[in-house]
Amino acid sequence: MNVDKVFNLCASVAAGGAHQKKAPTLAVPQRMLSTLSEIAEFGGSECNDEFLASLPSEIEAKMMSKATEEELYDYLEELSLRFAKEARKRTAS
Amino acid sequence: MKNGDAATVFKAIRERRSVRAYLDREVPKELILKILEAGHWAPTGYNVQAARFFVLQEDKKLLESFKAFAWGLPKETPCAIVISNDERFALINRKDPARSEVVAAENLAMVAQNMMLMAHSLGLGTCVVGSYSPKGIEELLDSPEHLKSVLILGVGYPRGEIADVPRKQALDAITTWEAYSKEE
Repeated sequence: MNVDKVFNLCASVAAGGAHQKKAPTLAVPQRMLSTLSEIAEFGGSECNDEFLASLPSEIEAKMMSKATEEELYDYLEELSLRFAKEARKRTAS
Repeated sequence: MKNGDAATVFKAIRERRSVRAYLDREVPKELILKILEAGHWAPTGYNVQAARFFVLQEDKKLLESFKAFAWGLPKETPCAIVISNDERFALINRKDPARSEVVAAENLAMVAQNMMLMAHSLGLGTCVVGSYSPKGIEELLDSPEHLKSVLILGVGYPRGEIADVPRKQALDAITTWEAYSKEE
């Protein structure tokens, strides 16, 4: 399993999900977050990736909260930036 | 330029198409430099010359990460150029900040067009991409705060034939000579 591919897939889901806020809604943020959580869980366990492994529980907590759709989009944006920061660290090493 | 050069210029304009399928082949650096040079010579409002470029090709890991934040870029694109606006030099409309963004987009679109025509004349294909996460790629590329990405240009050797897509409307259907009310 190529951890970089799984990581990039998760990053694209987070970035693409956040982008939906500006564009006509093709997928609600809850579905984007569920998808991201599933892929991150897979990547975390199959690739022993700590960054990915930490996400599912965090995402679940956010989804169980009473966050509005707008707040969930903001959360996707925040996740996207975290992926970008982590990607910068990984590509620099 | 001489009068006879018009045919060559129009040929490049007429033949250029957005290319979304590329060969697995790197773009030589000397050709990338020619493309950048063409962009550098584009007109800009008040001659601000605020375009800045990030070129991604050699660092494959970085390019793959980049594509995660630039989902509009075809997966097999071998080279990506981010065209950013240097806000330290760009025109700022303080009364209407949104207008500043429009002016930046206008300027950098002219930069991109120069680059696309140069690339085409070098046997390369290009595709302008606007579907991406600006914050994501700026973070990934460690872009300084004053550089704001406006467009991404994918560059590579085209794979397969490029379809000749006709214009949707005839030229005379989209042109008004003088005022609209004077049309016969």
